[in-house]
Amino acid sequence: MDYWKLVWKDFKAGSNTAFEKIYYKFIDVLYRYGTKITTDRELVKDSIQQLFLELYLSKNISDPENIEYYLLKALKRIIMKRMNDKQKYVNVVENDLPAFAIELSPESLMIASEQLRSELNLINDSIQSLPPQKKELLYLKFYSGLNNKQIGLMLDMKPETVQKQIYRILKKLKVKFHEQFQEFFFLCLIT
Amino acid sequence: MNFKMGYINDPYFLKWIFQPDTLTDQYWASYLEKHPEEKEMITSLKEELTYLKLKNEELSDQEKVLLLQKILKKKSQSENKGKFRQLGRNISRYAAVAVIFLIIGNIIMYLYLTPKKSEINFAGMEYNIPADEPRLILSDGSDIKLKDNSDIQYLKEDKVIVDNDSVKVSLDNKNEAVSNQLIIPGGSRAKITLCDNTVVHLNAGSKLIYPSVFTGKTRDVLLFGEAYFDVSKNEDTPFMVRTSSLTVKVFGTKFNISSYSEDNIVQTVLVEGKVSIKRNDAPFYEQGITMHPNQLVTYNKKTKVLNTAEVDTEYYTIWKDGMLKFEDQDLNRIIKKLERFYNLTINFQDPLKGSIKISGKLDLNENKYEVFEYLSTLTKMEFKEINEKYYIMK
Repeated sequence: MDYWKLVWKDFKAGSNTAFEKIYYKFIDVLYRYGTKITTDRELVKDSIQQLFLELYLSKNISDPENIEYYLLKALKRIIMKRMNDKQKYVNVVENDLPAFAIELSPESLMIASEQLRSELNLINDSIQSLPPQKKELLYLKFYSGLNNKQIGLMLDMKPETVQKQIYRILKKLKVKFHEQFQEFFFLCLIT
Repeated sequence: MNFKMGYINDPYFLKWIFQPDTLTDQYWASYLEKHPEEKEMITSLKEELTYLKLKNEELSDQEKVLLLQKILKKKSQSENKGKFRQLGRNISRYAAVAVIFLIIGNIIMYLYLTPKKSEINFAGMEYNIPADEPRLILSDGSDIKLKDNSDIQYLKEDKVIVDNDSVKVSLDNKNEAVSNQLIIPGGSRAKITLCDNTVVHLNAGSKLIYPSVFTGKTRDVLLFGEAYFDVSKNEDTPFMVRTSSLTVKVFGTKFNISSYSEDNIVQTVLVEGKVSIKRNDAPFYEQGITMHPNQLVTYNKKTKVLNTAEVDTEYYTIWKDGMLKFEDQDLNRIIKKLERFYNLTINFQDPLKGSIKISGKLDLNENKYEVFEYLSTLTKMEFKEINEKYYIMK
């Protein structure tokens, strides 16, 4: 059994220390993901609080196969519920976020050479023009520890579709990049 | 060519690119050593992918601590509620049997509902400082009532000296960041020597949270309110003072920071040495402001603007000797300090009078009535006593 499964067991047995370990391990990933769905920082914090309290109070939760996936999925549900209650969205399909905001880090733009910077600006524009679901997919690929299967479960997609989608998105983005880069993605993703 | 295909589907490779830490760096460095033929490929790929880093919102360390405390507090509340309900049900089941059961039930309930010591630690974490007595809460949960200007010393051994009386503490190395609390309400002050020989004077209406021993890469303390720090020199482990809006990083120096939650302005004054100040919500690439001696940095919580000015630091630090020195300052600000110092409320009959500027020096160790009289002559106003804790200036 791996380390985090043991911590999870302690956590379920009520250990505050185990809870703190889990909290500090995943708080960044949860908060970053949450603030992509909504810019309302307080709503995200409240949702994280609700997430952990629900975990505490529901004694009979099964051991998740992957804690990170389990937490992200639950957080997404809580945030969407809260946003729905707040804004009275109609017809919100499950797993389909109304928006997902990602953009290139300003740091990347700062360290890039002038020529590269204009390319990155174009890439940034095309990232922002992606539909929310694709943005979420790209984000989870880069910034979570989830594999294609888990990302697929987050987005209601088959793992193979995740793979294909990432290939398409990166192909769209990397057009301006060096040939070697293209070649790499081609090799990585065509399979 | 097969070896290349795995990377993009390897979360650990992507972690190394987008969220590197020492572990990922070590892992991939040794991987490259073992697979030199892939080195060129991997390094250029890393370089290119790094440009695709995305912008992320971050929680400050303090926000993380506060959120954690909030969750733990809510959890213990709901646990108690659960016990209450459960017991209530049991009681009703046996109520018919005998009243005595009810009494026993009540006793059990009382025992269950009394919070465990470990939970007191977290319960006191809010910004608001209870305006009762000065208290020292140790990492094991023991709550020590202090006198008005207490002197506290943490020794290298597991011992704390409070006003020349020695208290034994257990040195736990879990939860250091939140373990000890010094709470000083209005009307009091305290001086504390931490285990690294850093001396902190804590002003009225303030709270300091600190570990029994510093074990991490930095020496972190949390401050609500105002304190004067004389930080012991240690170049390897910087001392970090975290407040709700700013973090001050120091290596060994003397400075004062005033960060009361009810004040809109956070003031940091440097007496000696060098410190750097950073907004808690600053993006990670933003450099902090470096301060030099005799400088004052003000931070406006609303506009989020940091300003630097040259000042005479004595005006900002003399409170630790029980004095107040001011030049051309708003009467409002002086009155606010008196309120905290004596733990009372002073209102203006004419609120506009609060903005008149005054200069002078007050010895607050004297009887408050003498201080009031001195202020009366300065401002040509008088203090009217409504009751012991409430005065009106007119």
